[in-house]
Amino acid sequence: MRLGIKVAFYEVNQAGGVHGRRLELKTMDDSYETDYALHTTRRLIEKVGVFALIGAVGTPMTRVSSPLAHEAGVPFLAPFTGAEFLRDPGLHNVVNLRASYYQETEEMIARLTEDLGVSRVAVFYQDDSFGANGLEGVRRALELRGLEPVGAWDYQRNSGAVRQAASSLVELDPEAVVLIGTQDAVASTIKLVSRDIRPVFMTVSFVGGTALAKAVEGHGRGVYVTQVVPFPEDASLPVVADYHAALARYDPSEEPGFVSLEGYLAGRLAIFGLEACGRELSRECFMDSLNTTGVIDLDGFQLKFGPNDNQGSDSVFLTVVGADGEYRQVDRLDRQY
Amino acid sequence: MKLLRVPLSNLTPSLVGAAVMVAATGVACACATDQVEILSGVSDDHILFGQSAVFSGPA
Repeated sequence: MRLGIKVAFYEVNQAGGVHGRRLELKTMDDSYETDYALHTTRRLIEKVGVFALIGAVGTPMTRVSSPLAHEAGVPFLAPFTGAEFLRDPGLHNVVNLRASYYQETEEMIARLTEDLGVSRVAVFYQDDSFGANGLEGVRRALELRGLEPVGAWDYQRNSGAVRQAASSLVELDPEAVVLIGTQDAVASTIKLVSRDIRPVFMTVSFVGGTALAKAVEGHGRGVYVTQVVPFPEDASLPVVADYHAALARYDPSEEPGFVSLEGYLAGRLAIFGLEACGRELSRECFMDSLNTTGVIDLDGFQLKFGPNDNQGSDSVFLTVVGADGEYRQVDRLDRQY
Repeated sequence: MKLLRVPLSNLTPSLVGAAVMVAATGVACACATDQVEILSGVSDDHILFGQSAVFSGPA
């Protein structure tokens, strides 16, 4: 996220900034822990004195940090999470860019049941609000089809302790496993489970893309990942072509990726809001421009907001890791992978 | 109602004093404004955004 936001800011700064002002990003490391996220967010608001927060990472972290922003009247833009609690239209300072985890898990279950006729779905999830949100999304999607998870096992965040859950999954031998976790935990579990059984593995956008494909070390073939931004290699979409060009100028050593593209889109959304306000900038104007414009077209990637809708995109894109270890976008599940 | 927006980096001691006076007393006529909003993160030449994120993880 940080890379993509910086690329978008770099791009606009190279062109003279927004109404003569350069955009800067101050990022603080919260180690994907709630206590640190509380501290870093408070510091950004009270000590650093930022205009707005952007691209905050993680469901448990945003659960503790977003109320601080709300109390301070600081815009909370494009968090990197599909958490349902942030989709509350009463949170007037929150603007979500991406589809929710409920939408990602609905797409997973739709594809599993319709494309492959799968009904025995197990869930592996992180033992916090992120995992709980994903598990609930799977439950709801299965319930719509008269089904329920055949099993669900959690692991402790940032612990790497996934062996027990992996062992239970092997014993159960489900047709599919939905994994709601970070890339390392998801990759470790896929590697462990794949030694004995080969269910359809599906995971959500939080794992990113490239990083997971590397982390599974040859066990990634056929792993499906739902994504919430377009395929980062597909430059036929003007905004993705812009992203490629700006990324190449900002840092030629960086490769396009799902997460940095999401960051770039977040940066572009922020720029849209700032440009709409002109030189007389206020937080109220910034939020109004994002919330009341209706459809915001970021060069081909459309976001739609409304009075009771603080989430811009509902799009979920299905991707799969092929035999070559590379991602490709697909429309449906196929056992050939 | 008049609104004076003062970018944080442009604050001078006298402006801070005026803001405190207005906030504390509500004396509007003395300085021709009845509200002072200090707009954090914005100056004449830059706008600052903040991000809390994990450096060695997914994003």
